Amino acid sequence: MQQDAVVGLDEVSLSFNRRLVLRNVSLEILPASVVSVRGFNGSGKTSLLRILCGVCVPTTGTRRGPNTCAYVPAALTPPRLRAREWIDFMPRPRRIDPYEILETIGFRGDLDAFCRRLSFGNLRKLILADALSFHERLIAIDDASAGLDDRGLIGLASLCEEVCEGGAAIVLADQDSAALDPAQHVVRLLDGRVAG
Amino acid sequence: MRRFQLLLFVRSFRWVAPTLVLFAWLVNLLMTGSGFGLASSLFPAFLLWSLWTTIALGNIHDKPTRDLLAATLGSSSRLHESVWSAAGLMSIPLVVAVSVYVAVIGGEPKVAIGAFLSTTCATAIGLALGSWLHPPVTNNRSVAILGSVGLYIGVILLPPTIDVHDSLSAGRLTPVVVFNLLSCLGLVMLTTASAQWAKSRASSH
Repeated sequence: MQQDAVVGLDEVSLSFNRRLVLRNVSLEILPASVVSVRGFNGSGKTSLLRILCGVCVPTTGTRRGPNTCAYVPAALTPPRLRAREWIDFMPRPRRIDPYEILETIGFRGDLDAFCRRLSFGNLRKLILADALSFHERLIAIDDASAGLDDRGLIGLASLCEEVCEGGAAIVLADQDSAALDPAQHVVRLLDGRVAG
Repeated sequence: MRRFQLLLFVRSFRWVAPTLVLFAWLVNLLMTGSGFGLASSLFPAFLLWSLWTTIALGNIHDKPTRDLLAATLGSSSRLHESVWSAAGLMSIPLVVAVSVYVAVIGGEPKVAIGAFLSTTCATAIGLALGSWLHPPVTNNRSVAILGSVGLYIGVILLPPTIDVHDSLSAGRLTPVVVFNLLSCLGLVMLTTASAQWAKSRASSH
C-alpha cells in the first residue's frame, strides 16, 4: 500500500458457506479520488465495499485503512425515525451541512415524516446526504445510482467532486450499465476477481 | 450511538412486552412480599427483563442498517457493544427505583442494599447472556428464543443461584456481594467475547 492511500487491500479473499466471493483482490484507494467498482449482480461488489469499510473481515489477506467510514448500503428497511431525526441523531462529525446536500440532490420528501413514509428514492437521498456530509476519509456507496432521478445523479456527481476536494476518497459500486459516472478510476469485478 | 439505539428501541415498541411482564411481576412481588425475601424474589424478574430487552434491542436493525452503523462506529464489535450497553443504561433507572422503593417499604437500608445487589446481579447476567442471542451472533430467531428460555431456566435453577438467594432471604449479604462481583466479571468477559464473535459472524453473512 502506498503511504498516502486511504485504504488498501492486499490479496484479499472472502468466502461465504464455502463459496469464494472475492479472490485475491488487491486495491488501493487514494485520497481525493472517486473510484467506481463495477460488475454484474453477484460479482462481489457489495462484499468488496463491506471489506473496504471494515464491516467485514476478509477470510485471507489484509485490509489497511481507517477504522470508521461512511457506508451507504444498497437498500435498508426504513428506520422508525423521522427523516430529520435520522440526520440529527446520527452521531457523526459533519464536513458539509446535510440539509444543503439534500437540496443539491433534489430531496422532495417531508423531513418531519417518518422514514417509512418516504419513497425509495427520497429515503436513498436521505441516507446519501447523511453519508456525504460525514467528516471521514472514506465514503463508500453501494448501488450508487439506485433510486436516483436525473437531479439526484447530477447532484451526486457534483457532490463527489466537492467531497474529494476536501481530501476524502469515494468508492461507488454500481451495475455495469449505470448512468452515474463521476469516477476517475474504475475497478471491474468479474466473479470475485478484479477484471480490469 | 447509544442515544440513537435507544430512540430506535423506544420507537420500535419492542420494550412494551418485557416491561409489562416486569411491571406485573413487580406489582405482585411488592404487594405480597417484604424484607430480604422480597429482595431475593426480584432476581428472576430482572433477569427476564434484561435478557428480553437486550435481545429485542439487538434485533431492531436489519443487516444493511447494521453494516451502516458498524462502519460509523468502526466495526461490528463496537456496534455489538453499543447494544448491550444501551440495554444496560435502560435498566439503571429501574434498578435504582425498585431498590429505593424496597428501602421505603422495608424501612431498613440493608434490605435495600440486598435488593440493589440482587437486581444488579440479574441485570448483569441478563445483559451478558442476551449479548449472545441476537444478530450477528445468533441470526436464527428460533435458536435465540429457545436459547434464552433454556438459559433463563438454567440460571434460575443453578445450585449456586439458589444458595445465594436462600442466603439473601435469610438476611446474609456476603454471598450476594460475591455473586454480584462474579456476575459483573462475567458480564465483562461474555460481552467482550460476544463482540469479537459478532465481528467474525458479520463477515460470514
